[in-house]
Amino acid sequence: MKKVRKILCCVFATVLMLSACVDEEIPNRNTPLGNFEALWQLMDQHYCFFDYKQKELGIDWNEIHDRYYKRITPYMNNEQLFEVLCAMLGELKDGHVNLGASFNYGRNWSFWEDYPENYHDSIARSYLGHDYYIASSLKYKILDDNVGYVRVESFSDAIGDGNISDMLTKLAICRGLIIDVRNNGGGQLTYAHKLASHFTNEKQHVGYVYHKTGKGHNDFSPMKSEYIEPAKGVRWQKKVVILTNRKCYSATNDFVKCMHTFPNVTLMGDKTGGGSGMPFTQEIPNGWSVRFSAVVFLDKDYQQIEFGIEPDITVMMNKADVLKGKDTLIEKARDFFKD
Amino acid sequence: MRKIHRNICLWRLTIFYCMVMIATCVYAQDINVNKQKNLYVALGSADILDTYLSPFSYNGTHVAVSYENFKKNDYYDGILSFSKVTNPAGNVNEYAGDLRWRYAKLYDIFNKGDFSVKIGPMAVLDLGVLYNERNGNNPAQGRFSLMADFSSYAQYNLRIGKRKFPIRYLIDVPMIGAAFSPNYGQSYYEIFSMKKTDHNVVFAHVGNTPSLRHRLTFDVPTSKGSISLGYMGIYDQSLYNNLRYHSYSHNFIIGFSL
Repeated sequence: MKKVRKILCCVFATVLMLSACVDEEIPNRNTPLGNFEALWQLMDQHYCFFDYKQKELGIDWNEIHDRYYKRITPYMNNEQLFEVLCAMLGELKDGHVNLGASFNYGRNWSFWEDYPENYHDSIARSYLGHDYYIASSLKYKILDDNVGYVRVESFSDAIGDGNISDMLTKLAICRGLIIDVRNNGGGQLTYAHKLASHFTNEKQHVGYVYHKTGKGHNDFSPMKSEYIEPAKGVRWQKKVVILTNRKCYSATNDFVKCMHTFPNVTLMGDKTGGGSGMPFTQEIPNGWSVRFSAVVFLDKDYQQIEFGIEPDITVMMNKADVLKGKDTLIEKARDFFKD
Repeated sequence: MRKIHRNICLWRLTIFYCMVMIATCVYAQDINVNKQKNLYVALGSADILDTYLSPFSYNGTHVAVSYENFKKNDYYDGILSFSKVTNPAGNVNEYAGDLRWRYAKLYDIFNKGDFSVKIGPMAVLDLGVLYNERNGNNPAQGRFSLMADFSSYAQYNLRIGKRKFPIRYLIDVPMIGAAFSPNYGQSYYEIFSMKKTDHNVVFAHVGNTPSLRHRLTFDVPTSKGSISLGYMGIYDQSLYNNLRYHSYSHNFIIGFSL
C-alpha cells in the first residue's frame, strides 16, 4: 500500500507541475486600447525590419507607441481606431504591412504612389496586339525587329516548366528577350524562381535568407544561402532585358534580384518597389488581420532590397513617346539588342 | 428558451441511456477485464492556441474516434480527432486534424480484490495539422512527435448485485522525445521549398511539453460485451522555439466493446 501511495504522490506532483499553462501572451482585450496594445506588441515581437528601418528611416518603435497611444480614446469608433492603427503601421513604410478589416484594407503604398509609374497599360498592350501567345500567366510575342517580348503581370498563377520551355522554344529565333515585369506586384516566390531557373545553366547563388527566432528586434537565425538551380527544360542563352518600375514588388522584386545575378541579364527602367520581407499574418482582438514582414531576403552581396533594386540602365517614360503611342522602355530595350 | 430546450434534451438523453443500461444489464455477462477491445466515439469542446498562426485561443468543437486494444499488460490505441474552432472575434476558423497512436507496456503495482493499478512506459506517435483559413504565408502548422510517456491504468470493479461494473481510468504524461516545430518566424517555404532547417527537430521533455491525457469510463456489461460511458480529457501543450501551443479538449465519450 505504501508503494501505491508513493506512486500516486508522484503522479499528483507531476499533475501539479503540469498546471503551468502554456497560454496567450498578448492580452485579448477587445477595446480600442486593447487592440492598439495588441497590435503594437505583435509587431514589436514579430516584425523583422526594425533594425534596418531605424538606420534608414530613424524609426523608434517605442517612440511610435507613445505618440500614437495619445490618440487612442475609449469611445472612438472602429473607423477612427482603424485610421490611427493604420497611421502607426504606415510609419514602417512597408507594403507588406497591412491591417485588414471588413470595411477597409490599411496599407502604405508609398513605394510606388510617390513615383512616376513608367508604365502605360494600353500602350504596353499595343505591343502585344491581338495575336500574342499565352502560356499560363505569360503573354508573349515576337516583335517586328525579331525581339521576343514577354509580359508577366503576376506571379500569383501557377507557371510550369512546360509553359516556360514551350515559350522559350517559340522565341528561340529571337536575338534577345524582353521580360516586362512592370506593375507586377508579386505572388508566389516558387513561380518567380521557376521562371528564373530557365535563364541559368549553373546552380546560381542569388542571395541570403534569415528569419526571426525570438521576440527581440535582433533575434535572427543565421543567414542561409539561397540558390537557383538550372531548369531541366529549355534554358535561354541569349541576352535578356528585364523592364522594371516601382510597382515591381515582393516576389517580383525577388525575381529581379535573382535575374540580376545572371551575366546575360540587364535591368532597365526605374528602381523596383522592394518588399523583401516574406509576410506572415496574425490578428488583433477585434478580429482584424495584421500582415507584416517576417522573413528577410538579401541579395548575394548581403544588401537589403526592402526598398528596391536599382536598374543597370535607368529609363523613364517619355511624355512625347506616350503621345506617339510608344513605350520608351520597350523601345530602349529593342535598341539595346540592336547595339 | 433554447437553454431550457437543451436541458430537456439532455435529460431525455440521460434517461434513454439509463434505460438502455438497465435493459442490457438484464442479459449481461461479466466483462473480461484482462482482454478488451473497444471503440470509442468522443464529442466535446476544443480550445486551441498556436502563436505561429494567431496570438489568441480559438474555441469550438472536438470530435474523435478511438480504437483501444488491451491484452493483459499490453495496451495500445489509436485516436483520430478533428476540431473546428473560431477566433474570439468570431470571423476566422481554424481546422485541426490529429492522428495519435499509443502503445504501453503496463505492469501491476497493486492488485487486490476489485482494485488494480498498473503503470508503465508508453510510446506515443502523433501526427497532426492545424489550418487557419485566413493566413497567407503561415496558413498552417504541422505537428509530428514521437514521445516516451509515463502511463498509468487503474481499474475498480464496482459490484452491484452479482454483476461487475468496471470503472477504468487511464492517464499518460509525456516525458521525453522529439518533436517537429518551425522556428519562431520561419516560413514553411524555407523548410520545404528551400530545404533550410533551423532547430526544426526539438528535444521535447516534460518541461517544454507539459501535457496530459486521461480517460475515465464506466463500463456496463451487455449481452454481447459492454458499453462504456465517460470522460476523455486531452490537454496538450508545448513551448518550442518560442512558439506557444495548447489544445485542450473535454469530451463525453461512449464506447462499445468489439
